[in-house]
Amino acid sequence: MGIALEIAKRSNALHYKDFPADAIKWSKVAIADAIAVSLAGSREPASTITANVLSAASQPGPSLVWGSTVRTRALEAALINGTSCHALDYDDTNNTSGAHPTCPILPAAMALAEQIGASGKQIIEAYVVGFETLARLSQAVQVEHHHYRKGWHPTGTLGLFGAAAACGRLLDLTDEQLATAFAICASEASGLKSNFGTYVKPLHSGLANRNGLFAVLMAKEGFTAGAEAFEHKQGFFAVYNGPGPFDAEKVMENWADPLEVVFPGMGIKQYPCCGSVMPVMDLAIKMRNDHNLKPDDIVRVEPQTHERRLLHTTRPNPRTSLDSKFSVEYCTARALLDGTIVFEQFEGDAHLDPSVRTFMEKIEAVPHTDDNHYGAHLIITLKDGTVLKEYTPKAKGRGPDHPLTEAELETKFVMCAKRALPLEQIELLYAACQDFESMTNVRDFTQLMETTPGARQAAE
Amino acid sequence: MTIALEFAKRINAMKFEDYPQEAIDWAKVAIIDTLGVTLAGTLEETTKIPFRVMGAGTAPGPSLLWGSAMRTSPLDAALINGVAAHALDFDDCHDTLGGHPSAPLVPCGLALGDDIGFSGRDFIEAFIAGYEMEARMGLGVHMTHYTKGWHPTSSLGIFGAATTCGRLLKLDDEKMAVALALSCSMSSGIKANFGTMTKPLHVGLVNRNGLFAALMAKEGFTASFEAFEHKQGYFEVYNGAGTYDANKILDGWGDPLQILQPGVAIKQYPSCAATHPAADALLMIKNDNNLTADDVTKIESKTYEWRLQHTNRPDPKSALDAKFSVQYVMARALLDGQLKLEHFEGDAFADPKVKDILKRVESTAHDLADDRFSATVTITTKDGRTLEQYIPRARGRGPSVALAPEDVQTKFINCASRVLPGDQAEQLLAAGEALETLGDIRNITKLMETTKANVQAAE
Repeated sequence: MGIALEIAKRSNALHYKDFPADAIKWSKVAIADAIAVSLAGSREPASTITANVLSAASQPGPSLVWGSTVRTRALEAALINGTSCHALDYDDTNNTSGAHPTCPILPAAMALAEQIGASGKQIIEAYVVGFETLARLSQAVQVEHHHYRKGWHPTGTLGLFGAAAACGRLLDLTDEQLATAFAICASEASGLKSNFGTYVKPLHSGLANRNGLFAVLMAKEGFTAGAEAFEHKQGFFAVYNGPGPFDAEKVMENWADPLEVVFPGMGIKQYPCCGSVMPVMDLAIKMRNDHNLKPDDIVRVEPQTHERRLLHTTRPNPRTSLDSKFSVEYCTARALLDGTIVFEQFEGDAHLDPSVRTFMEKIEAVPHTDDNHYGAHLIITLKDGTVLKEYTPKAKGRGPDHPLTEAELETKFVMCAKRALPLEQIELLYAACQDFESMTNVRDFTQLMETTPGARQAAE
Repeated sequence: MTIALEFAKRINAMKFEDYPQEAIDWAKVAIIDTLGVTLAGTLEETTKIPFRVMGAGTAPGPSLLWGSAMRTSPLDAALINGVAAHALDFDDCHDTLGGHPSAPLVPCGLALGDDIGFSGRDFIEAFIAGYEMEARMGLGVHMTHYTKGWHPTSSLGIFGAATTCGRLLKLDDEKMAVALALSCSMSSGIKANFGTMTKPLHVGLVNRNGLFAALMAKEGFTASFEAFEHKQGYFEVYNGAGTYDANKILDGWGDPLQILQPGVAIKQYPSCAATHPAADALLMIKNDNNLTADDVTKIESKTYEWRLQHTNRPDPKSALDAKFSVQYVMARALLDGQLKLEHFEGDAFADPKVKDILKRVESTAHDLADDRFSATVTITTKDGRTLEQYIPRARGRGPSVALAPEDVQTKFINCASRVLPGDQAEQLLAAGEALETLGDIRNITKLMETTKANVQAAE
């Protein structure tokens, strides 16, 4: 049996009724988080340009372009919403795959769900299946992180297989049809790291959604593709990884035991800044609150992160708002001064704020040499000579063993969603996310993601 | 200057008035040939499936779905017509590209033309620029790129598609560079999917993605100008360290034009090009010696090993499989004395008479690296003769062995009249032959439009 068919059989054997409660819980957390960051991302140029080029409004269909009133075909909605979901790089992460696990899957699944009127349970089921396929497949190609280090962007090159698995489930593809969809994906996969730092990065996520859904629609209509598309000597593994290690057996080992969505699960980003500075933000906000610190009490601040992380985050003089997101010095100053990390600190001229700049002179970032590259230390010296020290092994939210609280998740949700929706609508949408599995028709849900021109003005 | 910008500057410097007449003539041959095989390809299930998936006809737009009366968005039309262009694998070839040069350029260019309008001369100008770009990429990345398993028509053709559409959209150098850099992140297509409908899908995707890249660049999308040469860029990731040379792409740009040297290769037979020299050799032996299938006890062929890799199919299981089977192609040529579209349709692959001949066929590889396009066929006859024919290069495969103009026209009419009434096919041929004088490119697509009445007339 070809590997595509092996994966398809395993994928089709996963059912909602067999999922542990944790799988449902974490799926809902990830779905709510992705919806919120997509709404915020829908206002970014990467998304608006894509929507313009597709002239989405001129191709009417059932699927909402999130944060607008436009409904278009599922393929276009998947591409635009998939781009929005990753536009701010604020969506969730996954250690197994090195991919953002939700942004390449959920927008396609939701767009298709709107076309067929699927329920919340069906979407959760499709999402879990997509997540599993994406993460398991990555184990074959991420031996020694080879696929990642080589320069592929796994969110693009692996994400589309997750999208196909999720969409295939929603359309009840047979094993053979789903295998064909995976094989078509093997000829569509793309996304290079050399395009990081441009609008193309989030577009990779949009394309993964569209291409995965497209492959499923084609397979359902009887299109054909190679049965050995993965393992063929000119197939996905050899062409995308080789020369270099891959191990096809790893895809099948311990499939769904436990489900990837449960362990290792996803990491949720609490703050709208680079992930490498986030553990320092946790410490700074905690110490500020615990000790009721005032700026004038502080004479010296020493954030310590692993040198591999500090390499791209020591930016004592950020020159642009984008630069400031990656500056551990700027972010630490903001956390200590404002007690919070929010979008507005990384917009316009916020990075030039004189009081922040003055405070930043007290900050000196230093690399630590701990084995744990997720961990951070923060050392604060006060005017009276007191030295405060705190350590965290990893940022809050980065994995199910160190989760964000419900209140923290809601704070992020509201901060993101209010870029596109009025507050009263956000409350309804957040409540609908908490109750996602009891929703009978996704169209009732997406109605809450529609922005009317009036509502948009109110939000702005 | 970065490589994407270097490409863009060279692309934008190409002008119709600087092209030699020969280049324009060959461009017209290639474009006409592409129109013909695409029209014939619209009848394939391979094309009808994306047609249904896209809900073509329900999404209105300016761009014709060739061989129908339906119009849709340029992106959808580029996809569907692009699949049709390669559905029969009967479209033209190019040595340095290592693939099919025109199928990635013509459907997206004309789909865009239906939207924005331009002259036949503009189209030829942009077509030759796209042709140059994609073919020169082959100079820099082959043969590693080819043997590794990429399908160059797709993985390199996207740069041609983006170039042709970018020129037609009049992108400046920076925006052209963005279109190419964005194409780096959309390039795909692997050979493991050969022999299935996904191979022509590669060409549909490349038309859509190249056009999409150009449209995105025009609207102000950003991409990295170092997308090619970055350590995690196109060259390193798609090829790998030490297996490419960007200077080979840049140096000697347009001198001579790739469309002239090595030039346009037209496929005389509707099967994979790698099977053609063997078919020529076999037909030559058969015709010279008046052989019938019954006279033959053994057929042996020797072709280049890289080409045999994907054409070694001693017992094809489908019509599409048969197109890639050097064994089937020789058996069929021996039986019928020619190779026609019908031989690669329906159950023709399972014809017991061919199956019987296939038992006598043995295809092996030669490994002469400087003899990539040849075939040697040796036939042993019942009466004990051994007849051998060496063909260095299949007829049609390049300007040195060019098909006669009548052969090109005959192929076009055979293909186009599967879809269009005969007089409309003749008019389309005439319009194509005078393409550089055409004021509005939309007159070409108008001649590819069918009504129910004229579809019936064609049937």
